[in-house]
Amino acid sequence: MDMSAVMAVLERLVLERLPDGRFVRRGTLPAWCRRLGRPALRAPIPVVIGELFPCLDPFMEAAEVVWRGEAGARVSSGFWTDTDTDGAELHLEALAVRVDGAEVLVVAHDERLFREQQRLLQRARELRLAHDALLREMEHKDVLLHTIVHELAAPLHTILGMLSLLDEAPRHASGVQAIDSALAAAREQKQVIGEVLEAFSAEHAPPAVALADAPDLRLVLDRVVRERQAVAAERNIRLELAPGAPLHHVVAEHDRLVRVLSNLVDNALCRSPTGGTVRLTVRREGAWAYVVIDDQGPPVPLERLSRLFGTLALRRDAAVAYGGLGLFFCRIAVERWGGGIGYEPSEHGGARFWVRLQGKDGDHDDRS
Amino acid sequence: MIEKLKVCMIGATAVGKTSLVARFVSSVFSERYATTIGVRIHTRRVALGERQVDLIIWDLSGEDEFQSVQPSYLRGASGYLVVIDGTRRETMDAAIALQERVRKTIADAPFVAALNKTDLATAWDLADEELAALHGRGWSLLPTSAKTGEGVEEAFDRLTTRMLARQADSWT
Repeated sequence: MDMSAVMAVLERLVLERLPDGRFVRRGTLPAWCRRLGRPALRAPIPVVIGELFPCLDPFMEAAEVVWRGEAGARVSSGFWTDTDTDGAELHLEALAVRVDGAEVLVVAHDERLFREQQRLLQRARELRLAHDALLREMEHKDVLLHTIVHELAAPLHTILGMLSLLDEAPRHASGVQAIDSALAAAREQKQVIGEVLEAFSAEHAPPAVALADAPDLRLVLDRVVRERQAVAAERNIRLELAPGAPLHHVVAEHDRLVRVLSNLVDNALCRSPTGGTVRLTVRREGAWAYVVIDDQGPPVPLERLSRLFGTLALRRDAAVAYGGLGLFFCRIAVERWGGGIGYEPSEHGGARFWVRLQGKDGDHDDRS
Repeated sequence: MIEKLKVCMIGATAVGKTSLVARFVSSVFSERYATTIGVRIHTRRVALGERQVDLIIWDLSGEDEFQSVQPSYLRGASGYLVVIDGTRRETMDAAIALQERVRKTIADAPFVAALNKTDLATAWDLADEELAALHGRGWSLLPTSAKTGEGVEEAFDRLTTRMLARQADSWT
């Protein structure tokens, strides 16, 4: 029996190392070698291994140890991936052995073994990734919970402080102011609680947007601007809605949309300098409506942009502007409607936030 | 004669090494994660000014508890790209440990660190202070996205420039 033919049938290429370090093929050429399209393989002439199989170059040091008889009987290169003339992948593995004094390299093509190894590794790694993702998610939830407690605690401190003041001087004129402050803080706390509950329900429930109830964006913006005018006036900031906002019903929940846009306007009012302007504009791009809120405050630092709307912002930037729950909740709500939210530096030097909302099909005018 | 430079891709598992190479060499991206076993070599010719270079890119399997990077693969490398998944902070720690090991094999070879997956902005998990600490160690950081292509060409260009500069230094 011709053993070299057996090796070829088993898809093994046998190379013998010559004293000058080059290799020469021994026996029959396996079929897969022809697919590689390397002429040096076809004729049994001495070749440099790195020219034949570049991936094997680094393996030669380990192979040398075996050939010198300083280590075990054989050593494997592990799999590497080569490409045939059609661009198809060939998965190969080399084994260095010493046979009757000859230094031999057996290159094996074993797709079945490779696939099995890959399947096991892939599965193990996917499980590891899923496990890590779960741990990360739990960490984010912890951070979120921590931030929520802080946001709830702040107005509570105000309420307690005002009640203490009333307790000490119930008939004092400042008592009315204390009651007003306590009420405002209580309302703020109620709003935070509402937002937290909504955000959690939004994360776990499927979108429940009834197209029949799709709010008219122009009316929502009119309301947001109207309701924020008093705050703007108090801070001597001009709050304006650019004229010509198109009539456009968008996929969103009315009350949440009001809160999302109010949150962004509140941020803009907080950051704008006295005497500045906060301007809302609406534009349409195909099936999308964009609400853009420009302020004249300092732009968001570049290094913070990538995580402006994520929970990392809560973890690391809680002490700085845009570090609270607001933008995180805005993102969850808007993405739930299939829209998007983002930031870009304003061309006028301030900050520019935008919200992208899906238009309700076929319901828009063309005045934009 | 066109010069050949060996470049190794290193990093933890699933950080996007193969995806970055696919984007750079073939301008393609696949959402499907297929783990790399062993090594695969890719080639792309790049031009820097009037100079042309063939980058021989060795895409190595990721480092984790199931498989480790064989130092021998790094031998002869002119430079390497360390890839970090920006949405998994632990891959930065893995990158630091790997780079330390690589330095023992190819001590002075230049490298660039790719902060990959910038398209997943809301899941970003690397803080400024951590990145500043890497800068402090002399790392050259570049945000990349194999999905959108952001920073990919620039990362390989920067690495090639550094490899060529190092060659020029060694000639003087």
